[in-house]
Amino acid sequence: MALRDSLTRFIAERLLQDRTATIDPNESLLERGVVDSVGLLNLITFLEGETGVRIPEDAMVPEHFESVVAMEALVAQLKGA
Amino acid sequence: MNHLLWHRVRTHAQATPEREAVRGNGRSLTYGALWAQSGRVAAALTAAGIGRGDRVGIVLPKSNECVVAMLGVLRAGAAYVPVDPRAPAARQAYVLGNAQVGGVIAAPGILEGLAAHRDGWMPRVAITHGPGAAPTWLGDALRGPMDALPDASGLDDANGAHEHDPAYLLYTSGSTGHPKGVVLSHRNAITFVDWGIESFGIGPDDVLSNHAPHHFDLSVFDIYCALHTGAVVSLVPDRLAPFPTQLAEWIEKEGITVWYSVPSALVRLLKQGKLERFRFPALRTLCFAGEVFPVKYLREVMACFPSSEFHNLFGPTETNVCTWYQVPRPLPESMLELPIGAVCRNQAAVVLRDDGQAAGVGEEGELLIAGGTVMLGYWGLPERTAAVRVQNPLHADYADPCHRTGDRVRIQPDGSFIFLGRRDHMIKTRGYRVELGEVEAALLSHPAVREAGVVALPDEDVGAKLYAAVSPEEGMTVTHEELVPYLLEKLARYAVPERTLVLADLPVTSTGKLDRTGVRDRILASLPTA
Repeated sequence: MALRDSLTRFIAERLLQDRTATIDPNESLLERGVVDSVGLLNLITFLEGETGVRIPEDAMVPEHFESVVAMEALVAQLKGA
Repeated sequence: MNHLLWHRVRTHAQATPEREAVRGNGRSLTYGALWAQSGRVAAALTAAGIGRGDRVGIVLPKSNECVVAMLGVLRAGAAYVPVDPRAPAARQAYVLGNAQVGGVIAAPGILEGLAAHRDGWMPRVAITHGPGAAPTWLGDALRGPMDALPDASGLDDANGAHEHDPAYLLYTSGSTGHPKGVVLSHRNAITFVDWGIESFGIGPDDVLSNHAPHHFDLSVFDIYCALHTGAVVSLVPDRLAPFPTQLAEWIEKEGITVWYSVPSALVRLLKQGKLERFRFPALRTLCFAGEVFPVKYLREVMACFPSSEFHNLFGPTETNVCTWYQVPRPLPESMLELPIGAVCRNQAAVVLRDDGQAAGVGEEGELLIAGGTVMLGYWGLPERTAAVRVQNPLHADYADPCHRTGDRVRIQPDGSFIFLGRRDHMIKTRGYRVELGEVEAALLSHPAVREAGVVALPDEDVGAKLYAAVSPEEGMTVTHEELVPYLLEKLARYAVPERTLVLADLPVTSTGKLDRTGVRDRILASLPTA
């Protein structure tokens, strides 16, 4: 759950630029327009720094960055690999 | 008559109403539907008293409805102001307030976010589009939603507008700390669009991509070169744009025939798009603009699109494109820097040496542009406009206004130009203009910052990356991590520095001015050596 909290905070502060924004872990961040190409690179840097995993280029597909839950699953999958 | 930007859209809507005009997010809009829907927007604006001499803000995620909204505003006789839907609310509110828009067309959530920053600004009409409840602060101004506006088949398009009226305002980075609005007329846009249609042979069988955001002038080419010829403009879905492998599939699947983007988008496709999967048989023309394309990467990109033409388009927002260069195939081995080409048809170029004389072959100077694409001016900034709008310095026989681009070029033997750099402190990152002064002003507005200097360091992927150096106020501390959220409320995301070096004092020149070279050296010394 620690990742969920820090990731949600990161998205609110850095991508939405609104510390008070509410982010449902299941909602589509892509539909909401939160993740653009600059935002995606920031997210990857954040996830790698926070969890120590290396996100390969193959994993850069919309499905893995759709939502907070999807990013958690990606990290879990990469840690297990 | 074809003197307003929407006239030729009407021609196609009447001749071929069933043909596809706009494609976005899996939905398609015919010329007939585009015409009918934009008429409803125009009628709703007209009913609210919006017309010639007014401006209307458009703050929508990229969608078919953006294009409907633009045409609707134009048909009402007003000018539109496209605002980045992802920009901080404070910046959106600044632009809308600065342009004194009388109307706004926006997503409900964006309108809600503006409430806290509007500073007394109140639109006469607000049309919503998208999910969410309409905010209450708009009161009686609220209309819509956009897709439920009343039918407007009786709309009278004769609104008195003429070709030198503003068609749209594009806000770019301003050195004083606030973005400034570049006012472009119908004539400006049509001059550029006509050049694009003729130069690239655009016709009804083309499918033009729209990669750039709508507050960026590259999108003028995509939208209007398509809609003026009966072609299709296909909007790159926001959800795919960040993912190069998906974007490459999209280009292939959509049958894009003409692509236009910043070079960094093509470099990302090259590096991560797995382009070798496709042949892109439909893609006949790729145009790029907005920043310098490193020749090394251009060679590799050209190899991935073996049957496509490549064109380097050049020009500031104030003149849209003013020079262009068709990249030869094969690209000569000896070519180390890509020319920006010769001046576009229906424009004229003057290159002025530092001593005020016209430059000859092999000489360098500032590029001045005259002709139909030169902007009307900076919105509400007559002194700034006068500083860049000058009489052709080579004669005084008649009024021959030129725009000083601030770009330094060298004239080649064939009359084409090589871009050498800027006269001032404007840089490009990911194709976006950033005035270093705007970033410094934002840093200085932080209570703990005493001095601030920003420099741009070259970067292969995005053109340049920004780095800051600051000194704290007496007895205070400040960190990069504290500054970033603060800056994100004031600046576009791409204008926020990558790192901030905190120093007790910043280097100054002998006259006490910020020593940018010194700042640059300190920042370079602080970076980890890769």
